[in-house]
Amino acid sequence: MSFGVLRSILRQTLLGMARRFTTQWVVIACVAAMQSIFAATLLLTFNLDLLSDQWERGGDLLVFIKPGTTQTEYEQLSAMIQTWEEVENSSLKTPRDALKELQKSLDTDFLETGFDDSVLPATLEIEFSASTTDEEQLEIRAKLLQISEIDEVEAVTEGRGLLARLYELRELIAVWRWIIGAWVGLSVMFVFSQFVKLNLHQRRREVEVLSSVGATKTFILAPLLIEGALQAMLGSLSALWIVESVLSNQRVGSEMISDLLLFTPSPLSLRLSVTFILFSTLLGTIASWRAASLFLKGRE
Amino acid sequence: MRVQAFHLGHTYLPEHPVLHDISLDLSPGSLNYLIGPSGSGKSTLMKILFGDEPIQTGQALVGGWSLAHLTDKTRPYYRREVGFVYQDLRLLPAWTAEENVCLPLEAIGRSRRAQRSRAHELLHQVGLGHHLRTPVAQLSGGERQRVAIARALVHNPRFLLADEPTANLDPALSDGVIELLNEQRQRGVTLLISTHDHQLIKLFRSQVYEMRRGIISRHFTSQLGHREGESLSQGAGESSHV
Ligand SMILES: Nc1ncnc2c1ncn2[C@@H]1O[C@H](COP(=O)(O)OP(=O)(O)OP(=O)(O)O)[C@@H](O)[C@H]1O
Ligand SMILES: [Mg+2]
Repeated sequence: MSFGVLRSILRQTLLGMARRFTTQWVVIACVAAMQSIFAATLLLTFNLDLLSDQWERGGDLLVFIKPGTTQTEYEQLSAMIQTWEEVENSSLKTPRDALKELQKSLDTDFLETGFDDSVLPATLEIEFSASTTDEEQLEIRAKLLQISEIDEVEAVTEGRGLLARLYELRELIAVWRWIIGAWVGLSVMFVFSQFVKLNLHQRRREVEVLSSVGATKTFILAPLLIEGALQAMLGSLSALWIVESVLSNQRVGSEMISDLLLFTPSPLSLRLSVTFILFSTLLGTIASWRAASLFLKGRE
Repeated sequence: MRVQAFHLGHTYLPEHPVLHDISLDLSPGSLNYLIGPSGSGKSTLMKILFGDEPIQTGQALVGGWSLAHLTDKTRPYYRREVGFVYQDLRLLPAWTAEENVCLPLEAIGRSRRAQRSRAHELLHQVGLGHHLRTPVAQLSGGERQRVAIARALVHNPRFLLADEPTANLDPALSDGVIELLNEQRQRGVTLLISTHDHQLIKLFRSQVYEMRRGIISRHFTSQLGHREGESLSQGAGESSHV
């Protein structure tokens, strides 16, 4: 195809879009509305991923030790647990350590004097090795029971518990993300093929005239494809913009989230955004192409 | 461009043949008329020669093109060498006269400036220099017809088919249009014009093919004369069956 023809195709695309300006807005708004749902799901999973990454760091088991346990008893307990295969590491935190940490986190030393550190519990953080299968998890639970039966132990909490629930949520949403994605994708394709049909119907005279003055099939189809691609791109861009501006404008929700979870929701990464837009543009182009070539086939 | 048709036959609906065994030989740069009553098959023959209707039986050769072998891929390129003024004009009413006339050049990717200057030249020639920017919907029937003629000429076709190009024009304008079309012969353009206006054919020496019920019933060379009330048979010279 020559440069001149390419230039003509682009000109015809823009002229055609300008001639049916309102229709353009309707299609773009439709696509934007549907894509916002998908973009919101993407944003949610993206942040859940970030959240669980943040939480993954930290002990797997937290063992609270009864007050009045002596230093030797601590050490015996720690040494015993350390012998278990699944245990990667265990670290003991005495009431004194806990106090120091508390002071550090409060950035003050007013607790230094006259504060009875025995009110703080001694804890043992146990980290299990990273490669734990489901079976091994069972074992860990069994060990958990063992630990809680040791005399000196007051309570055991599973550090993973919350994280596991978070994972479950993330998995669930990840599945839903694809279901929603597929649904939105199909709807977008449907909107485009209907729109192209309508468009071609409105323009059937134009198509007829174009083919009678020596326009090739490419020349007739290309403007429709470019139009579809542009609409899909603008639609998904608007969807991203809508979702992200909602995220950044609803202060209360964000503050609650960041207080509760010590986590600030962040916008979609650039890579994910670009993929989202490209994918949507591709969908628009494919749908337009399919509808247009079906229409032309039916005509001839 | 030489135009030859060999034993063309055509049917739209089974059992109702529209053309039977049509043969023609139009020499390059010649002026040819198709006359005959309504429904005799003039438009059908022209559409076949433009590649709008497929060749069902027979063969047609136009320049180097074998019309029986046109495909969806090659047809646009054939049409770039041929111009057609449709009986129903096929203009885009919402577009301006200029935009309509530019379309064949747009389809082959000419620059905007080249398109415009060529379109203006032709629109001035057909007397529509003052309507360049007028949407076709706002033009009169005769003005639209002239826009269609300008569009058919804009890409310098070597074979021009015009299906009743003077149907909506008054006698003076009709003669003007035929003169304009006739000028194209200097460039070797072959003209095939269908008409019900038998006065037209006396304007220039031309080959006249008279159609009746799908066959060419008469073929003769027209004789020059002035536009008046006389009937066609008196103006006709030698006559032969094809
Ligand atoms: N698309 C079509 N489908 C079916 N029949 C058709 C079609 N086009 C034309 N015909 C029939 O073919 C015959 C010839 O039509 P055509 O248009 O070629 O006549 P014509 O000589 O151009 O007439 P006119 O002088 O009125 O324009 C007519 O009887 C018409 O009914
Ligand atoms: Mg006709």
